[in-house]
Amino acid sequence: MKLNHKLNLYFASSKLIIIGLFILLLPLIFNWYSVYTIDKFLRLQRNEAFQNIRTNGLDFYLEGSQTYGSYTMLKDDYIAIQRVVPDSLIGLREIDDQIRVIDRDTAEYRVLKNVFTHNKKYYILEIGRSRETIELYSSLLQDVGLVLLLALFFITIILDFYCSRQALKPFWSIIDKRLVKQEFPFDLNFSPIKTTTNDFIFLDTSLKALMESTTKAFNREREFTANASHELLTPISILRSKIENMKFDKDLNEVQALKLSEMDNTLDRLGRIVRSLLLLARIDSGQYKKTDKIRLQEVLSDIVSELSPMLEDRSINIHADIKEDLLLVGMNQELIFHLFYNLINNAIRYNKKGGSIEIKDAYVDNTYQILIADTGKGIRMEDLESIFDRFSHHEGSGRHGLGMSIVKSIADYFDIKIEVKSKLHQGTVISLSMRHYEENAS
Amino acid sequence: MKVLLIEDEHTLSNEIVNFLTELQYDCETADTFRAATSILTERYFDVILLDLGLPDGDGLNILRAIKINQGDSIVVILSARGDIKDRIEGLQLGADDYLPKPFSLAELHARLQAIIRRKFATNGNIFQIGGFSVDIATRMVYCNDHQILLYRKEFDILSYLILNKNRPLSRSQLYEYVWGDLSISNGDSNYIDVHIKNIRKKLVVYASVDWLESVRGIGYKVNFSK
Repeated sequence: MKLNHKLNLYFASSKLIIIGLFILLLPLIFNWYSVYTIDKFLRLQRNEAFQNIRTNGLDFYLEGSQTYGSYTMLKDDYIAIQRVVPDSLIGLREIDDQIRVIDRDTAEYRVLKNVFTHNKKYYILEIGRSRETIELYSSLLQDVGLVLLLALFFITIILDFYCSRQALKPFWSIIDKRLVKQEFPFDLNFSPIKTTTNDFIFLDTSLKALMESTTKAFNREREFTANASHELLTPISILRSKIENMKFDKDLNEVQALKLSEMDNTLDRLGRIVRSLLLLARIDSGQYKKTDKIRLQEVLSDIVSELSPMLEDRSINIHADIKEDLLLVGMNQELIFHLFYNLINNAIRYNKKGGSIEIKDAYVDNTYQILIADTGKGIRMEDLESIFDRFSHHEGSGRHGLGMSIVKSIADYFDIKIEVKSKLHQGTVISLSMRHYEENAS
Repeated sequence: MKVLLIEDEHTLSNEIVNFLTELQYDCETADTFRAATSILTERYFDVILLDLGLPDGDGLNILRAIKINQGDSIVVILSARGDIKDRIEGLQLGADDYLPKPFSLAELHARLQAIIRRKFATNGNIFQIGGFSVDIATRMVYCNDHQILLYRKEFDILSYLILNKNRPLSRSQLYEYVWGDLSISNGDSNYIDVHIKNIRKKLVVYASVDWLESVRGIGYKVNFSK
């Protein structure tokens, strides 16, 4: 789930909880509030009633009778004065809800009672207001409140969504620019992502620091490889010369000569490994110029003719069908030769007697693709992944494990995508996709 | 032939001098930039073997001086410096060859001979062996006026063996000489056997090739005494 969506989900659910609580409490609050206002209203009415009684005198209302009553037409409220005996007043509350029958209509009223004396007689003044109207107001307010709340809820959800998206924008651009689009070796000359969020500034600078330290570590390792290989060359050279001179010794017997020869071969292997490492270091540090235009067909036919004795020796049939009018540009003759020599050489070495090698090419999606397929012993699935790793050892290959690393380094150097597909005991297909070429070059 | 070896690594220069003396070269050594420049102002050398990485100066500057003061000397660069730039610059400045360390003495010898024969073109370019004549300069092999066609690599192998006559060369030495830089990641010395087999097959049609000997456990040699 995307961070933005997650955040919005949190926002929405917290709002829903608050709104839910509010909706639950709303009737209680409205009820309480409307009762409170009505009670206030009733007290005001009472004051007015007493004012009137004082001005007009009680008899004006009682007109000789024991009681007085008056109500509005719709019986929303009423006023009544009644003579009472003091005993019946025990437990009387100032305001409460009571059922009253007025004009044969039974209704619940909020009733204010006030006892007063007139000519030593006790009277009670009752002012009532219908609860029905109270509830009407309350439910009206509730409905309006609910609709308003829901509308606000949806507006804030949308606002949240846009705001959080806006706030997270720098985050996505950091991810995109620093992590997704970066390829090793990193381009470290970048300007910081524009943001006012401290956390993102921190993330950005941390990532930059990480990339810098990675690059530094990588460069250190690369320099070490180059320096170490370089330092090893002279001692190896000394040993080699010594062994070679010893071989001229006339007193040498056959056993000694054989041992010397074995030592020489071992030293040769060591020399090859060191020089391979140097070659890798040279490629990796960009020492080779990328200025050659290469007619691939010529390179391949040179390689094939150079390797033809091996092909004949193993009765391997090679078929190369390569476009004549294709030029690779921005290349280095030496390295490209090395690359294809290595691949074709492998296709011969790991082929079976009487096998075949097929070299084909095609234009695929703006790239020029070349396939080298052999009918050799293939590569095991578990070895396929590490085939380009330096010094990865594959059972029975007997190689020092740098040949394919060199191929990979050269391919990377010229932006050539290399893929290996293989089936054990059936063969290997190597595909190279190149982006720097000229078609129809005569 | 007078040879000056400019090399700061004494153990290595001793071995090279031993080897070249054995081959009748007249060797002198210099182990610093300063020693090299002073000896070069006084004396003339036919061959100068130059290590680029000297402790007190850039070997390429010595090369520049040689090219000005004694331009017809043969200069072969021996270098452990990894940069390709050095090789290109060295050859552009007029060095006759460039041997990256760790090189084989047999290769040094073969390359020197090839340069010497090329520069002072004499009859010495043609070797007579077992009824065949091998012309190093024109890269031709004849037997009684029959021209025998060899692949380039086959001729390289044959000439390398001939130039190191009577001395066995290992398969990896041959491989390295013939394939140069490419040999580093393809150490399949079996290829040498294939080439030798083909050379023998092509030559034996005209005469015996028992002078091209296999040396058990070591490699091959050309035996001039046969």
